[in-house]
Amino acid sequence: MKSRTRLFHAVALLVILGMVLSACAAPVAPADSSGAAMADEGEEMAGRPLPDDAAEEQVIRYVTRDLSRLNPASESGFGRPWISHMWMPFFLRDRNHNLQPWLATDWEVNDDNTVYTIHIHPDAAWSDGSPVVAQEAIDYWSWAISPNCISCWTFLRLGTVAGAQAVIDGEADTISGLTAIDDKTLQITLESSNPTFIASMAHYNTGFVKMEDVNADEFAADANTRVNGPFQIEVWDLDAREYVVVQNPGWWGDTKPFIERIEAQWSNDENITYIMWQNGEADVAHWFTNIREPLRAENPDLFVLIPYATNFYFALHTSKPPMDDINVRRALLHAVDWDLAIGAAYEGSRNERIMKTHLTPELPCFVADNWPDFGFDPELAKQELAASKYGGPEGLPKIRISSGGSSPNYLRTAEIMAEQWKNVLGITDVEIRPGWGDAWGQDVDLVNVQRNSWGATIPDPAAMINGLWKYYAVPHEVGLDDEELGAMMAELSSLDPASAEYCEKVSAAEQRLLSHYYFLPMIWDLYEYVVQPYVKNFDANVDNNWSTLLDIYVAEH
Amino acid sequence: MYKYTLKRLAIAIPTFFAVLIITFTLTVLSPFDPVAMMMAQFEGTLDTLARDDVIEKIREQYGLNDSYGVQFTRWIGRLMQGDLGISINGQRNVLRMIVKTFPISFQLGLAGAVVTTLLGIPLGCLAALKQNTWIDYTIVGGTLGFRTVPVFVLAPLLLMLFVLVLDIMNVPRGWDGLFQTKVILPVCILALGPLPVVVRQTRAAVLEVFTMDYVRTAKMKGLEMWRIIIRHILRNALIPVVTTLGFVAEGLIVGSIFLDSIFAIPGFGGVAESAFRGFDYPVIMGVTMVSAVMIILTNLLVDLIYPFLDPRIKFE
Repeated sequence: MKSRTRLFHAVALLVILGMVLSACAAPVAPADSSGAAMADEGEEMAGRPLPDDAAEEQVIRYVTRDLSRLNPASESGFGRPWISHMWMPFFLRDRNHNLQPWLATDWEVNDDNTVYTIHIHPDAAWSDGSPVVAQEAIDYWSWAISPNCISCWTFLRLGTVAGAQAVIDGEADTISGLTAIDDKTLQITLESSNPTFIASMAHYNTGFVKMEDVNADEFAADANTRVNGPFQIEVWDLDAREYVVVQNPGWWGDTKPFIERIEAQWSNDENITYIMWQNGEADVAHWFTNIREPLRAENPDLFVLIPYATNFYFALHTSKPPMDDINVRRALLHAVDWDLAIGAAYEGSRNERIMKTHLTPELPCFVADNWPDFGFDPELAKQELAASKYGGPEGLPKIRISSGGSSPNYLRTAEIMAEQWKNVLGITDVEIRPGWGDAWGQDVDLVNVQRNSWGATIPDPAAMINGLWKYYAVPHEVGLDDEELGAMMAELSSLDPASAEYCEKVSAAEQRLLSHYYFLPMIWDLYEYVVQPYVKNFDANVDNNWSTLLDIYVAEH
Repeated sequence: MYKYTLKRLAIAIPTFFAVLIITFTLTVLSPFDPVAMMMAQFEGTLDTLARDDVIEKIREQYGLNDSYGVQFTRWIGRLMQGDLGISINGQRNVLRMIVKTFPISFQLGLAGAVVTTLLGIPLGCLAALKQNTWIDYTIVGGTLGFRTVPVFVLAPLLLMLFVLVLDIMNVPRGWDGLFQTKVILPVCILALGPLPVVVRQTRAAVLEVFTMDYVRTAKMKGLEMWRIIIRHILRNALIPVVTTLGFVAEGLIVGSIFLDSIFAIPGFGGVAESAFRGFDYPVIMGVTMVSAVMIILTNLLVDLIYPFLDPRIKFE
């Protein structure tokens, strides 16, 4: 009898525990419709007739790996394609980097490029119908660059505005260089002359949210967050992994989008994404790995390149032996057949993207042969190593390569490099470790080859070359030392991109930078979407925005 | 029983805190930088040359530049207020992440354990009763065969079969509750993992009990075989199986990492996986806490069940 009572108690306990936990795990409630309700209060957009071949249902199913919180100040993953269509920056770029009016109609700048005046579209309004005013940008940006905004990097865009540094440092609440001249006019005063500052105003980081909707330091937008763009959130729940964006019916713009709904699906396993694609469960997909290559072989037209400016390479620490001798660096470069190496390491998927210059083909001022000495030349490599202060492979200090991540592509490239150095130059004392500096423990300071990357979402070649120079002139990074190059770089900052000499000077600076042989090239990376042929007018811009979203539609299929 | 339970829980408290302190110390003192690891995933899509500036700013925000002592005191202080902190990688409240995901994994793991039990015990009995016949070999070999194929291989293969070859379903994804057809495949795959353990454990236990005198007596009395198995063999054979099942269930609940990833299930395994991959220590601490509690409770539950199976065992 006693044991029956015990059994009863134990079973009852289990049942109660199960019920409690099941109740906690009830299916996710539908998204709060208050956001949509707010939007409904706005004036309905005039209808836009669908093209003749359009499908009845205008829904895009997008599959990707990285979907992160939605906040213009922090977004960085592959959830960003529509963020500029929810919280509009003042301008929007097309594929060729041209600025289009977006939240703003136009802008002016004073003669010395220190004061920019931006005119917000007079009809611009939030999804609740309230007008978008200049002060809202000031309020949000001041929060977004402050220490309060967790994991935010808007400061990269606005750090040059007068008074921004004080806010970044937590010493002021408001960026003093921002002034609302009136509701629709924003004046931005910079610390110093910058002819390309307006580029930041087309970056998704400078879209802004109404501060009343920012409810936490780790703010993430949801269905209740008001938008000023043509799309709004229906549900964006990172925990439940549900992501749906729908049209903002109250959008103030003249052109209504065709797409009614975008359903994003998180897929951390790229094999599964591939199965979904083959089964017709995805209209747009994004793969990071080489798994997508069979699709390219079948139908290359499915691929839409994101015109990122990205290089992947192995930086050589010129302040550490044996990289302190330029002849060693030259020898290491010339001893590798880069076409074969990258072809093998990337399984043929980057044959057309072997890095031969810093500027990528997608950028202004790109010159394909700006590094004339680039290429495989074993005899030259041997001579260069012999001419170095180390005299040959025997006296060469150990080469320690940090692969910077554990991607098989990086590791394979490093292994192929080491193999070719051994075959061509007789260098055998090479150690490769996956990961960053932390993989080396106490030996971290001895690492002399570090895989790195260089990428930017603002297509400003002068700023990029300058950025590289500044980064690699730091002693603990690569430690480049070149006074003349420093002067050339300083001049680049003041050049007007529209001037005739701009590209000439950018190319000259790039060539001089390349002549330091401070890196071993890998690839200009290839970020791209795979898009079903029935998704029409699809395109993306440099910061991975579906820049043609207003014109994208799904055709009958 | 209540006294015994309370005593066991009281003993568990220092164990629990010891686990937390060790985990916190190892995580904070490790050479890995969670912010750098977070930034690495944005490589090529963010202004990577500004990475160091961004990393420094975020490290400051999370207090990662503080000394171990300061970080530990802050963490304990928050823990006492029920605040597990903010995920570095996901910038979300850790407690909310766990509260949202754990019940899903709990249901999934429990369902997997039930399927394992319902399949494993009868199959183990059958294998024992048909020892050294083709049935025995098929059961043991078959279940072991499935076990040797990793989940991240087995699941895509099964999906290719069901979705692309047989065309009978779409890729099951997400979570709409336990009683949905999309849960069948993940639960079955989940159950396959520990199935050979339960089968072999049951088989061995049944074989051992089968030679006991009381079983021979029952046979001689002319009892039907099913009655002998249920009343005399299984009851005695189940003690080691229950121990195994307890840990199987615990493992299934907190360890469905690959399944969460493959089937996009918003479960606890996915939270754990991304936390460990990104060295996201606020989440690692949360995951460790839950896992520690699960292990402590599972141990306790298993011990509480023993006396019902074997009256000779008393709560002491």
